[in-house]
Amino acid sequence: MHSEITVYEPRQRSRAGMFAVLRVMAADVVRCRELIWQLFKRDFLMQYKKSFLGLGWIVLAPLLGFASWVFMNAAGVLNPGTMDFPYPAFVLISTTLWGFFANCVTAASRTLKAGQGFIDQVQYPHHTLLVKELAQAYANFLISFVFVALLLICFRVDLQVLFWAAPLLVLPMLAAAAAIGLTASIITVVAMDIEKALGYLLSFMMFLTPVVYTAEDRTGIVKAILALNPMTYLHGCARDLIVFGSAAGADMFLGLTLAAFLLLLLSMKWFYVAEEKVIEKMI
Amino acid sequence: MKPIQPAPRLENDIVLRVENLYKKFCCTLRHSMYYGMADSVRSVLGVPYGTDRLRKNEFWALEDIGFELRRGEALGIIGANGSGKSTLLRLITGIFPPDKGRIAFAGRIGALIAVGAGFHPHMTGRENIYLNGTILGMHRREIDEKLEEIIAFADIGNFLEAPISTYSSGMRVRLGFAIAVHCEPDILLVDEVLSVGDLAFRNKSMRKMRDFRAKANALIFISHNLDQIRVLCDRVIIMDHGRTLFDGDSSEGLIRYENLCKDMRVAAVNRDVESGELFRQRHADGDRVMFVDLGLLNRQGERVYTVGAFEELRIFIDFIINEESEEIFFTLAVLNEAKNIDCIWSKSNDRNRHSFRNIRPGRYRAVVTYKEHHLGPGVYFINYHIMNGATGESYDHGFTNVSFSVKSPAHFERGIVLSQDSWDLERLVP
Repeated sequence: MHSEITVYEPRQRSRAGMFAVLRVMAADVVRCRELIWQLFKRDFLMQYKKSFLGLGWIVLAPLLGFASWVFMNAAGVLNPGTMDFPYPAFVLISTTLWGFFANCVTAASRTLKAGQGFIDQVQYPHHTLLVKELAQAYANFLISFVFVALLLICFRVDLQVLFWAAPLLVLPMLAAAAAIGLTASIITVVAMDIEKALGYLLSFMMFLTPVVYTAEDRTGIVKAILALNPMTYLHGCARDLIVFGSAAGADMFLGLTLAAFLLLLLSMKWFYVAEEKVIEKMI
Repeated sequence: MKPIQPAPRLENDIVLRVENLYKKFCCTLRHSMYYGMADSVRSVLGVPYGTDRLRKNEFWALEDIGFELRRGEALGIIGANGSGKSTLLRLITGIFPPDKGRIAFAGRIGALIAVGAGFHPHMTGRENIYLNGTILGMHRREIDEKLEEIIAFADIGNFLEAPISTYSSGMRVRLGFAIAVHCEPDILLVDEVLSVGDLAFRNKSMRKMRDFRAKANALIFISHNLDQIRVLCDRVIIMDHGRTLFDGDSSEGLIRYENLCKDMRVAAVNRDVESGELFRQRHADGDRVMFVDLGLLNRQGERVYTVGAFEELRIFIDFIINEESEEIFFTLAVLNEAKNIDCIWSKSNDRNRHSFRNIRPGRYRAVVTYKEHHLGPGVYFINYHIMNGATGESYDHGFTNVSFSVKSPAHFERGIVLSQDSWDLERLVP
């Protein structure tokens, strides 16, 4: 018989301070690493098991997006701005990065729903599901990234050294996406509005962010919106560093990186405290 | 959830203590959404959010529950659907937080609330053992060690390497149960899952539960199968509408629960009667003789709805006679609850001994008394037939919803007839 005594009381989690919460969450992730791995395996590998293309879907989806942007550019309906880089390669990298951000938001927003089948049957730390969901989005990104790299090498595109740092340069986006998604995952359990709105918002945000065009040469209200949009820096700077090896507004990128990680810590505390109150709404 | 505050100690061999436990839920979706949002924002801001009082459309699903569980003890929790049994289990396992009160336990708790939690249909049986085992808190090494035992217990034969979407529902449940029982926690909570599988598997599951207890682990067992509770548990808690009605010895508790169920059933049926659904079927010939009411009486002549085993049973029938009748002849029939046995009893007034002739108009009550009824514990319905004894004409014939219950005797009885019995065991061949 184990001698450790566990106690459950009302509002137990609200009484815990920020650092205590983060310590508990980190310890849970380490303790439940096997569970995270098992769930990752289940959801990552199994999603393509009953499919002829299998993991090919991970690269096919961004490729289709890439093809449509290249077509629109060739048709003259798009004004991507001037750049010293082949537009198809630019848009391929840029949409892959945006796709990663959007996937991370969606994945984090599914944190509680990912365990819906057993969340009211078995007690386990639910924040482990966030790690599993983000790991899955990150793994998808890495596969896409390797594919993009091979494609660019085949077409003899001149790649910068920082191109290979892409898996690190996307981490600020991952933090921001996780913060947004984690907050949404709590609200989604209570009311479904956020889940529905999130898809539209991500599409809309993509056009407010210089993903398929560059921020240079923009004037007036568009310029003002782009300057106020944090994703212009989190996504745009990461992409410019990967594509061109340098980026304007690097100081904003660093500042927003710090803000994104702080936001993530706050959203983790919100999730930890609020989730026990909303779990009962999942039944 | 790990304790954030320093945990109290549990004395001696107490492994679980539940103190003044309350849990509330909301019965409307809109209020549930509003409270969910408001409470989660308040909890983050550190603003108290009144867990100790009810708001509009909230109700107590658990109210002032308290008990202790000792090492090696098996506690059965019984109660009607919606009495709060599963909610209590979810609070003990930490799935839901309490709104008031406290739960403290020593060691690891394992819950068998639903078997096969997290199973993936496209993964093989073997892969799902690892997945489900990990979800239930087992480590890979632990699963490796118990893998053969789990496979043998589940008895899924050659299907181990097949995706579980190809399994029958029975095989899936057997596999889920096999994984869960091999977690071997210090306290095992079982919610109505021992009735899965075929007879051989159910027997095997019961043996496993007894082995579990023999290792001095504690068990909380929820079931509607009272025979399983009787075999497995020394103590029972009866729950009703979120409250504890009884906490004590299992044989006494089970009899109380059986009687409670019957009383509730009779009360529900008689509520229907009071709201106008007196008859399931009625055939009346005009208004010469009109049925008014029927039911049970005690010795003081008061109306009752329940009677003890082997006690005196008095059934009355009230009726109005509008035209003088040459001879009245009654039949009162008692049916079992399922109404699938036409008559357990059908008593008519014996015209040689109880002849009712030349009855003038008025309101009457006829009472039939059984000195010692032998009805088994259960719920019964009463039908009647009023006839003209001289001509054989039928005045009024009704299949009613009027019911009564027979309480359980001090020992368990099944069937529809009670009798005093004795048993002997003789060795015929050495």
